[in-house]
Amino acid sequence: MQRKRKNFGFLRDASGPTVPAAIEQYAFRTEDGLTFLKPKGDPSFHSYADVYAEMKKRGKHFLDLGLKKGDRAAFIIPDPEDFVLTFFGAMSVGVVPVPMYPPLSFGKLDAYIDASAKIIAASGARVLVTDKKVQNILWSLIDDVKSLEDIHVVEQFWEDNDGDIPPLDQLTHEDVAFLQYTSGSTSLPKGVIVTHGSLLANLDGIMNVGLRIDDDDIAVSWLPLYHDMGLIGFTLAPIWYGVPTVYMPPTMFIKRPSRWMQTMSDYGASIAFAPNFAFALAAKRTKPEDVAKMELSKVKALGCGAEPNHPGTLNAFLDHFAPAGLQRKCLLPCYGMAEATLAIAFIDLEEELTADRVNAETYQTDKIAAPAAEDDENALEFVSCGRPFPNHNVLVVDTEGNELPERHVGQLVVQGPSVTPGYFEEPEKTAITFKELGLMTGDLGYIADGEVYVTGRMKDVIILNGRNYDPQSIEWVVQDIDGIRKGNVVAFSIPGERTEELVIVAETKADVDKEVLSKVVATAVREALAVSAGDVALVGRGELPKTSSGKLQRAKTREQYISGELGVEGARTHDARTQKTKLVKHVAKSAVVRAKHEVKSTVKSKAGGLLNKIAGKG
Amino acid sequence: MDMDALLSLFAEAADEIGQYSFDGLSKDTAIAELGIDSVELLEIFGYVEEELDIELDDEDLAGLKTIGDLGKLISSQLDD
Repeated sequence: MQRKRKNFGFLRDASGPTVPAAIEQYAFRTEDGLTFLKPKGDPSFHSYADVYAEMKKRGKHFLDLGLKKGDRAAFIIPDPEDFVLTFFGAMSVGVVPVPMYPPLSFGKLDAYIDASAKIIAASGARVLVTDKKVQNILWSLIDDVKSLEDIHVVEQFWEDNDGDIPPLDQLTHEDVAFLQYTSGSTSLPKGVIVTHGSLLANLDGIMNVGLRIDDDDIAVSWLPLYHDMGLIGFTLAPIWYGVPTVYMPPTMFIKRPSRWMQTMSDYGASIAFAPNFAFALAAKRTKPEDVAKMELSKVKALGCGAEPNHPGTLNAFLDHFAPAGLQRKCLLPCYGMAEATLAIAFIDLEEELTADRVNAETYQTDKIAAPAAEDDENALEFVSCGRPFPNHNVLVVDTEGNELPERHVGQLVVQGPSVTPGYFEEPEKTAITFKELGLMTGDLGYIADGEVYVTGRMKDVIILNGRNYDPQSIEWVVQDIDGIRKGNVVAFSIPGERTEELVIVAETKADVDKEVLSKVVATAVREALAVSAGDVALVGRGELPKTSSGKLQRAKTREQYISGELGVEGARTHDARTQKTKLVKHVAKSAVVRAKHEVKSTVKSKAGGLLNKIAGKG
Repeated sequence: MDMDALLSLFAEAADEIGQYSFDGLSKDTAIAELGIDSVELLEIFGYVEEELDIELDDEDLAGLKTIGDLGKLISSQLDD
């Protein structure tokens, strides 16, 4: 059932208009628009009219810097307001933004600068746009990255100009809208090419089919804008459809998770998205007396994706906020990935969260998700991600690429116009993932009654005695044990004597008896899943390797375990001191390179001025 | 604010957020040496803010070295 919002007479579908052209159409709207909440002080509001003016102004600044259509510009902009407006500006003149994550703290700076250099080099970005504060540690990138010519602070894009940019209809469906770098934990980052065409196909699916946007919708987001869910789901989709949107910085949510639903209530919002962990955090940290004062009956869609959805977590969230009038059907598990722009499948708005109960025995031995008997206490539960968008399809294939029937578990393959052309300047990696059959997702799952169920990542699957286990199913059991630090558990397998052997690594509280706790863990896993752990390794807090965004790294944990290095990095006392030295070092290096660069540019511009004079232009 | 009260509030927050149990915290304890990851640390600061009904700047928080520094930052807010 497809319904199109009247939208002041403007239609929105896969044929267009592009995002900048859509912004232009809304330029007459002075009453509604985008609201940016600030940790302190009043929110900053931009009407659509204002967004349009800002887009042209900032677009003109890009042209004035000498950038042309197709040139890449790296973005390290922590403030959502500046990020969003500058992103639209770049898009409006065909400059390709490369959004990157800002430094979270001053720890692990070496790794941060190194990762940033790799992304900028891979994208061939000519400039980096950042802000006045963050630039202080980034100038060394000019020396490290050949393609990078200059670093600009976003504050210079505030300055007024005539906003005179070329007509927006020069942007075609084949043009690149932006590059989305995916954070490979060990491999080099890969930049997904998002074209205006794939973007529009996906926005059409999300807004017209998945969310069936109507005139009353209001969106709220705290999601980081450098990741696909925040960027496409809450920066590009709402502006394209003219949905008023309220942004809060991610740190506002992390510090006070109660603010998420409070903001939904304050603004009478209807739409938000987040990964599974955020639902757990919001439920845990919002006091019942505060819930009682909230009004959440207008909420129609709380999308959850990007992480495996835990039925228990999602149900607990619904229970916690039920007193505020939150309806159970509003929770919307969805499936997608950056390589397919963003989303592929949503459960229907009118459908309640459904968990498929599956017989564990046939799932693990035959890779078939057969429905479990009602009294089966060992049944596995998987959350439905709904049906693929129209014109899109999800297939399940075996290791040889043969299509499998319903309820057989295999690799999910995505087909349709949202599938992007591939990775930027990476023909080999593109050929491996983007095949004629479709996008090889690397995700395992099955289809039942036309609905997609995602069970895990292929590379993480644990095979014990010929049975398949998803690491989450083991980790979820262990993290609930008293003495274990919730969310800090990793399960994987290593080659054993006869078969693969299960290893569980978990961080513990400081005051536990590790010997006793190991036994408790092994027993719990045996009772819940009927598997024996070959080893339970308990480590101290902060010793599991994590990504910059705090995600556990299974492959790296396994590597460290095998090489005997696990926990060695956890010598934090020493580490903390070196971090301070590193910060000083980076700031100093950055300052030196910046000074050198400024001397060069001054010489260049003086020379340029002289040449212009000679040519009679100055 | 009273240092003992802050130390026990910090310990409570650390336990609540990350099931950390710290013994012997003092005003000279270096925050970076507690081995708390940056996202959790932010959650802990948020918990402390909420309990005291104050709002601290993310940048000021990023510059803190010891728990004593946190105490000073909080006091300067409470005086405002």
